[in-house]
Amino acid sequence: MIKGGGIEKGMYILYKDEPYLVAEREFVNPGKGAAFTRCKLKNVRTGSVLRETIKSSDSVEEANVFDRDGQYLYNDGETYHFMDIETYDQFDIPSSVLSDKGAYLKEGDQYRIVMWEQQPVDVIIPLKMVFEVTDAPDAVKGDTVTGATKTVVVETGLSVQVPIFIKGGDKIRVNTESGEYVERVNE
Amino acid sequence: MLFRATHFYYSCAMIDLECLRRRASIVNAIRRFFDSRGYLSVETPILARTPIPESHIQLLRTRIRDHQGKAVADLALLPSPEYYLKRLLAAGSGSLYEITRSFRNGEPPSGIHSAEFTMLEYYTVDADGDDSIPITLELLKTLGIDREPLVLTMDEAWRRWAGFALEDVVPPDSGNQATVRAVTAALTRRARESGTIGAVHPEETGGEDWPDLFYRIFVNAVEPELPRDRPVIITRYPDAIPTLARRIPGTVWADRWELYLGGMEIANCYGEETHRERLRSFFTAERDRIAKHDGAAPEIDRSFPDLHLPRCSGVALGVDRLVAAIIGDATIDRVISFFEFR
Repeated sequence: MIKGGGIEKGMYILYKDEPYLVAEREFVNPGKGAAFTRCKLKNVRTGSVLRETIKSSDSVEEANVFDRDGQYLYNDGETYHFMDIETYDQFDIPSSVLSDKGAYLKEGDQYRIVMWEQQPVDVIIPLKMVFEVTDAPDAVKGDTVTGATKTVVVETGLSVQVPIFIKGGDKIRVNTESGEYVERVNE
Repeated sequence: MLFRATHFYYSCAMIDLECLRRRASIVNAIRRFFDSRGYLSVETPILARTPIPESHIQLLRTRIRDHQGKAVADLALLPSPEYYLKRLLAAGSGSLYEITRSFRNGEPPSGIHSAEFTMLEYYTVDADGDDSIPITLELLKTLGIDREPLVLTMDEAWRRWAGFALEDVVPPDSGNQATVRAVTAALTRRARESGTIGAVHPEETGGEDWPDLFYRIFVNAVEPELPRDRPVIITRYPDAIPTLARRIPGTVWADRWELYLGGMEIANCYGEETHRERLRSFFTAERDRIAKHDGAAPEIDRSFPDLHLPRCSGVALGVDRLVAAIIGDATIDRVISFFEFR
């Protein structure tokens, strides 16, 4: 248990029995009142965000949340399969927990898995990742308007809007939060 | 010339000469404003044996010794010049003002707190809290803040942003414990229903008192919504929060308002309580709260409630925050020279 005044950004706390990441923390001391910590909390399981104000003297329970590394193996539609590379234990993460992130996972790569009470609740993927384009339609002749785009598919099956000069085999950097093309990568 | 070390809040000293020049012109303008309106400029002691008891403030203390090393007095560094300014007012000074250093211990590293900070306090005689509003807005205009202010009551602010009327859930009489408990429970219920607070469990926290619950909701749901692009003045604070503001007769409200700039609490104003018995009961209640918290009752000035304080309105304003707001900073570290962690 910690005091409200001891809450730090990046900490995980239990709030109404759910695990929350303290995404932001502000100390607010009204001139004629008690001391408060105003936080932006992000639910580790659902991702929903809420604002809550905790008195500095209130007791708050830290949530047993920690990261572990997992190598992504494959998915069968419903479940994503990972392996702990040190122990060779395999574990599953349901696609409901991953939601949109599943489309960015590259087989064989390692990712940080967020665990709460022995359950995987989130996968941390980098903000920008590089993917190989596997399926790129040719540009339509005469399509010379600046900024024209087309849809390509990358190695994970993800579809991305890209400039028309991108070809199959090219590597592109994608913003994993927005799903947007960032740039072509020359390696 | 600008010289700025790496900005780690707790460590390196920062000197921003351009900011200090701007601060100087602001403080000079404040002095000219009050001098030209006939306010007496005074310097009162920072050290005091018997500060006004305020349970939410932690004091910085020091010990005076004589030339032989014998302890002469244990003194506090005042958290505001109010104590001596009111003694001057009672002695017939007329309207007065002071710009001084004030001290508060136990403050959080919020970016807008410092153990040592600069306070402007001005008292206008023959005035109530509402009379101080145009004076303050005129002062802000002189300093270049002339956007049309938003002036609203605390009740209106709650209707707008907390989603329910505050008036319904203010204790009418702070002395009646049963009523206060019932109202506190009602306020908790309304706040939970409207989603303005989540998991407050007054039972678990040993019974939260009404002022703490009020502020919990205000800080969570109302204060973040205040406009930041113009001055905001919230009037009619609940009298159920104990302060030295007089109650507006026949209402549950105090003659008290606060000024916000850029989302920061900048100034607090009272129509001052002058009635001897009410001053005495405030002193006693605060002294008892402090005794409960610290294990020992603080020494208080028992003659303070007997002062013949004239009808007046006082404004306490944080100069560092005001300067920061004027130059567009969200923290005070650039506007205080050598601002290390204090």
